[in-house]
Amino acid sequence: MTRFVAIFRRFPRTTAVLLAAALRSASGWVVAFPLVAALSALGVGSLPSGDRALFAPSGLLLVETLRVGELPLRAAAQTSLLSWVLCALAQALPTALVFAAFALPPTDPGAPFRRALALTPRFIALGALDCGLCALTFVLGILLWPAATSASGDAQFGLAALVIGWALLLSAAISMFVDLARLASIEPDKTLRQAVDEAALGFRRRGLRLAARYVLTSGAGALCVAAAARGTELCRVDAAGELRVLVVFALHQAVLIALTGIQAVWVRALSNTDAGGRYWPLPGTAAEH
Amino acid sequence: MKFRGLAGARGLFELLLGLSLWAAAVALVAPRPPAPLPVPSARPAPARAPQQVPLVASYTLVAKLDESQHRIAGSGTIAFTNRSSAALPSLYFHLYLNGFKNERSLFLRSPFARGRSGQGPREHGYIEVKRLAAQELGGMDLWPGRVPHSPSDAADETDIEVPLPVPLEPGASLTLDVAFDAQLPSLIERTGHAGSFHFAGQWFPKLAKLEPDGEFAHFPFHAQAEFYADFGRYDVTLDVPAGFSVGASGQKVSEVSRGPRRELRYVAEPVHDFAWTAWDGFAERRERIAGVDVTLLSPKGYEEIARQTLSTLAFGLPELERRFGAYPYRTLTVVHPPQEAEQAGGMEYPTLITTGGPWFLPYTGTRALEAVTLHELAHQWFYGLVATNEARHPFLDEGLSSYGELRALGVRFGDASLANVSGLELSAEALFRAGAALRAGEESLALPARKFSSFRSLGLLVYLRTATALETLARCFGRAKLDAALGAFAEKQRFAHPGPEALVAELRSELGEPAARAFERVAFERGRVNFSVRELDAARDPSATGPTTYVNRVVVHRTGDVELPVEIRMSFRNGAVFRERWDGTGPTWTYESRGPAPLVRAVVDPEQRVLLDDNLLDNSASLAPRSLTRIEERLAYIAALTLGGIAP
Repeated sequence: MTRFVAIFRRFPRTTAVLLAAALRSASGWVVAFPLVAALSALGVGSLPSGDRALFAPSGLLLVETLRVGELPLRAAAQTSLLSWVLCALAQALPTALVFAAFALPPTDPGAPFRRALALTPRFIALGALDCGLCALTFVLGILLWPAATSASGDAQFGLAALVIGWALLLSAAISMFVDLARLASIEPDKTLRQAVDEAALGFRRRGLRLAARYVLTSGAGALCVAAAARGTELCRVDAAGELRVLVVFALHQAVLIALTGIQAVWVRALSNTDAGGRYWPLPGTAAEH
Repeated sequence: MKFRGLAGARGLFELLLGLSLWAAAVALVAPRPPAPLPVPSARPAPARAPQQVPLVASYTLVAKLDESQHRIAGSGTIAFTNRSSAALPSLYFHLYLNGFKNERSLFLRSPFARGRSGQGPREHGYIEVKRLAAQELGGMDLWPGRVPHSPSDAADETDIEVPLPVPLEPGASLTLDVAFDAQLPSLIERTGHAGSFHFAGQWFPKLAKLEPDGEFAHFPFHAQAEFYADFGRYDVTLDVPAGFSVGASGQKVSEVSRGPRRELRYVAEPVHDFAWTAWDGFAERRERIAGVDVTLLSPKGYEEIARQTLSTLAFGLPELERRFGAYPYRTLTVVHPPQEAEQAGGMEYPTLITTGGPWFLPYTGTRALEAVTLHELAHQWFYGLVATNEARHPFLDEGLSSYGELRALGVRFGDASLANVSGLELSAEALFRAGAALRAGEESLALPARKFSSFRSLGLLVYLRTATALETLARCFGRAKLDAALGAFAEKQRFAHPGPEALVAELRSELGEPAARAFERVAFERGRVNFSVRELDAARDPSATGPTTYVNRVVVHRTGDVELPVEIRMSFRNGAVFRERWDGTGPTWTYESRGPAPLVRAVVDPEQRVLLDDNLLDNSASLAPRSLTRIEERLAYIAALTLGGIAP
């Protein structure tokens, strides 16, 4: 414990990233547990090759498991969904930790953690705002999709790209805006409303500049996930050998850490101006609007 | 908000780099193209000359399409020869379009029996015969003497008896002058219109199939049933607007432009149906595949759909010829309807098939386009050439075509014959098997189409369970033998309108009595089977005096009435593996032994040959179940990703 504290004092930001990634990973295991328990009850462990069979090419036993276990798996999925919602709310803590660690000047090593705990309720509210607005965008996209895809002739690709692109852009803009609000809400004396107002101001002033950085960081995240998917495919977990599972586990944990690190880079981008490294929100911006 | 100087350049660089990273990510997980085509075994190019088949009902028709009213004005002659052994007092005509005439028709009056789509037409359609005059009877119009409704169904007008003033003796012929109006409905069950798209299937008065005993195989048009007719020569002239592309059964023999309209003449022989389509939105592609002139009509802009369809045909045509004999026609027309006319998709007619799917289908990683293309292509044999009664025994055409589709997909894509999405490979066998098990033992496969409790039930049993049963026979008794049986059935029964007994006879001949009996049980007796390891015990032998000895015992059960041979594999703690064969007769199989190692696992049918098995999860038992680390790790990772997302 003492050693951990020492490491944490020396590398508080790295520790914050690792801790946030660990929290996210642990949440994943919590969400997965009911489904795994249901699969175990279905006798998947007694299959000749155990759960390797579920990853085997052709998916014969995967489809069979879904068919035979439809009812227990559906019940387990509902429990997992509830766990997912609770864990999604709990993600406010690691998110707050990353924001507090990377947006605040590195002074007292314990400050980000204390601040993160205090920020969690606000971040839950902002996370809900993010999810709600993105869900709305998604629903609108779903509603527009049939019209876009029913177009004949050469217009179809353009219309579909327009719908997908519009939905992605809107979602990205919403996420950027909410992150700006998260950043603004770090200041203890601001209300949530003031934070949102400041985010709106920041979005208008720096939106385009931040958008480029957002595309860059999200692209890096997407590449990490895609590369891991390809790597996992190459690892062939349907084949015998526990080492394969270990390698895939390590790969996936590395992705979660990388994604958290990318989030930290993004927070740094939010909290700095282009080159000056000044803390944002700029002093006085609240009074400007 | 403006890019200025260094900051602007940096922003632009970040944007471009970010977009590149996204592109790389998408490229990494995008569905990969299938492996190169396997080359079907060499076989001499078959002759494409029409075969000599006794013609029973031949049609020479002119059809003029009124594209604004979606109406076809038809006229011409029907030449009919009584090739049965009995004199005929009446003729029977199928007026299939009257299935959409009103809500009282057999087709439409049950909201639960509206066939594949489950929907009725927005606009009704009908066929009105104006004249049916027999030349041999001095031009006497027979139509006024018809029974105006289907036999024993006063509300339905799809199965019409036309009494003859004098019986038509065996060997005698009639030439009927016919005139009719066909009003196409809004698209339903593969016929009708959607905007300017027109698909004319079952659009003319069609003689019912005359059986050898002099009975007509006539039936009212039921939503779950398809068609049955005699072979004949179809000589059809289509009069359509000049700007419309046309696809039709048979070979185009002439084309004449007359101002704003075009006349195209098609001849098909020997076939038992004729369908056509006309639309001003088609892009037309022609390719010669395995000696057949293939015309593909797909909506403009569906480039990838067209490429994949032609690629599938380039593989599928020789592959299916290898299995079921030469495709004897010179032409094949493939129609991919637009999305607003999707109900026209997935249908077979002689020398013309329709596929379907949205334009983005090729980018989804699924094989849906290939599957529908191969399925409808297989219908050229099982429906087109073998010409079974689709209403009476739908499993003979849909089931065998589904098996042809299953095998062709398997040869083409291996374990990813259903989908390959981000490394998740699913086979068509997995889907077919699961679907087949959903209705196991509930209804016979060999029921007439209208006797199935629902179209869903028909689909799961006729399409999926028949194909699964045949695949099970291939795995249990030998694939080469099954291929030989189906090949013999397809070649011997070509143009012969066989019943199920001909198929069973070929199975019996090539695969043996146990295989034929198993198929009969599944097809005709609602047969089912489930193998399970019921008991697995390993205990120290207390009576042993020397080194530790274990008494091992396995009990395997078979429930259901289908007997199939299986293997039982037993694994011992010291790594030894022992295999036994069981012919599948009797309800149980028991194994007992004494040895130095305890038994840890027993598996019945470890190679999953019996795809008909009701439940594959109870085929194994273990005294040391494995942990589920693989699936747990994967689910946890996916959950963690969804919790945090990819974006920062």
